[in-house]
Amino acid sequence: MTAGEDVGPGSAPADLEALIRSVAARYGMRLDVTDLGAVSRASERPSAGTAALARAVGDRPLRLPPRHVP
Amino acid sequence: MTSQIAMGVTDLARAYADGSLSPVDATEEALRRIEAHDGELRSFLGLRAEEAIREAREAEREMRSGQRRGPLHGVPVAVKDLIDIDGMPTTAGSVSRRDDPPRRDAEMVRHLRRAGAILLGKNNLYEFGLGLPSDGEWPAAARNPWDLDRIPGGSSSGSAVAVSARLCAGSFGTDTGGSIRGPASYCGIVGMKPTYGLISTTGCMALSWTLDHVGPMGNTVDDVAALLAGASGLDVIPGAPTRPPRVGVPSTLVEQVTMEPDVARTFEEAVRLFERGGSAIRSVEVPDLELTEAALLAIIGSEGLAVHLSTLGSMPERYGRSARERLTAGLVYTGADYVNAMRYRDVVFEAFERIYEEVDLMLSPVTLQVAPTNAEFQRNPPHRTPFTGVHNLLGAPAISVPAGFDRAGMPIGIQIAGPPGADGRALATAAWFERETGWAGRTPAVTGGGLVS
Repeated sequence: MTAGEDVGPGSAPADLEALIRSVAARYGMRLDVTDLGAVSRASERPSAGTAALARAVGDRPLRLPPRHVP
Repeated sequence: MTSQIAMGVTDLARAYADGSLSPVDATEEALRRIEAHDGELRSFLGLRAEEAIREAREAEREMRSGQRRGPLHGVPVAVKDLIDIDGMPTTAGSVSRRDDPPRRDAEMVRHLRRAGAILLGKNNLYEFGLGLPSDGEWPAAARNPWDLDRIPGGSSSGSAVAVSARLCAGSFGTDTGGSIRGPASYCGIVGMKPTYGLISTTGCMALSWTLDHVGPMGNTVDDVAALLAGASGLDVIPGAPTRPPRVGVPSTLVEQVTMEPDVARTFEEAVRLFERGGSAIRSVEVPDLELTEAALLAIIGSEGLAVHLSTLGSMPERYGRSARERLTAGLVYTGADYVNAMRYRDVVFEAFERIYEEVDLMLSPVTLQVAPTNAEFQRNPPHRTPFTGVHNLLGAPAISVPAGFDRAGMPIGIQIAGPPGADGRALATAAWFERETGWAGRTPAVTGGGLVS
């Protein structure tokens, strides 16, 4: 699930913007209207894709390489 | 401007060996060509002319005393301006880093110096490896030497242009989803993303620690092999050649995407050439494109945002519009999205383990189209990398090698990829393809028809 997905790609942009603003504020990021528009647009693709990813990985564990791997 | 100096790695090494040319001759010639042509090509962001000449004199002195460091000795090369060179800032193509203090050499640059390479300077790029160039923003975008109205591709744009226009003998780019191979295809040169970690990324500005690869770009496969050996510090590139290789083709994916007809035709001709060369051609099923793209976007989005979080928060106005928007878009991913994308890499590993039990190498197009005009690009920038990105998830070697031209005379590459660690096998097959087709060594003529090498 993406941050954009719990409001859904088809939901009111204001909801999505509020969510993005709250996440950005956590990191002290200032967002202007252009950024918000771009993030809203960008959220449409990952929203569908990441939900499919969650289904595709099933119960696989997360495997990260050990520290010595370059 | 015409010159009889062949600005290629192996050509120069041969000329130094027979005494017909010296490193100072070649370095001065490279700097002359940059002076003459880079005003319109815009492939360099920073030059170190005096240091390069000094290093060329030292290489010449070493050669005269009988010391030979190998095929890169005295050869003028460049690096993408995401890679640190001692005494220069690493701008990453961003105003936000333009006034940064000078850096120390990246690890791969230290290897290049030990191999005797002459470092000419830093190549232009897309901002931080992902921000699309925009008119009026610094740096002005590099231009394709085959047609100045067309883009060279990115993000290793300047590296591809400088090599294609013979302004240097070779260059190094970085590739997170196709940023070496795309520009190589658009500019008619050879570009390689080696196995993950074969060339160190230490001292290179990250976009995604998981997916970033540093790789060589040259005018021939032999040049690229020499550049790879020099930058990795390896005497022998791993991965034994197979002759003729069993070749896998992602037929379903090729049918699924929309390619320009000349790109499709060039790929079909390449498959037929391998068939005539004795290769068994097998159709293989690669992981689902939508899932692969989703994983790439989630990893680049999350890691890219993490790289830039503090500076993007404190000085967003110093980022170009596209880089700022694309990095900020990483905010939409949750921690679970990122973890799932990393877990999905296992799906990719397992799929390709099965594929590489049946075939030795994979053959595919590089891009869906030839280099678009700048106007087309500004209207509708190509954003899909269906053939290249999966090899970043896999950390596997993949080479773009020239395979032909479209009706307008723009170059088209094909991609030869292998399992992780099969870099030598992929290079040997690319060299065979290059010999069979004869596309290597063709030079663009748009800069006054003078770039004869």
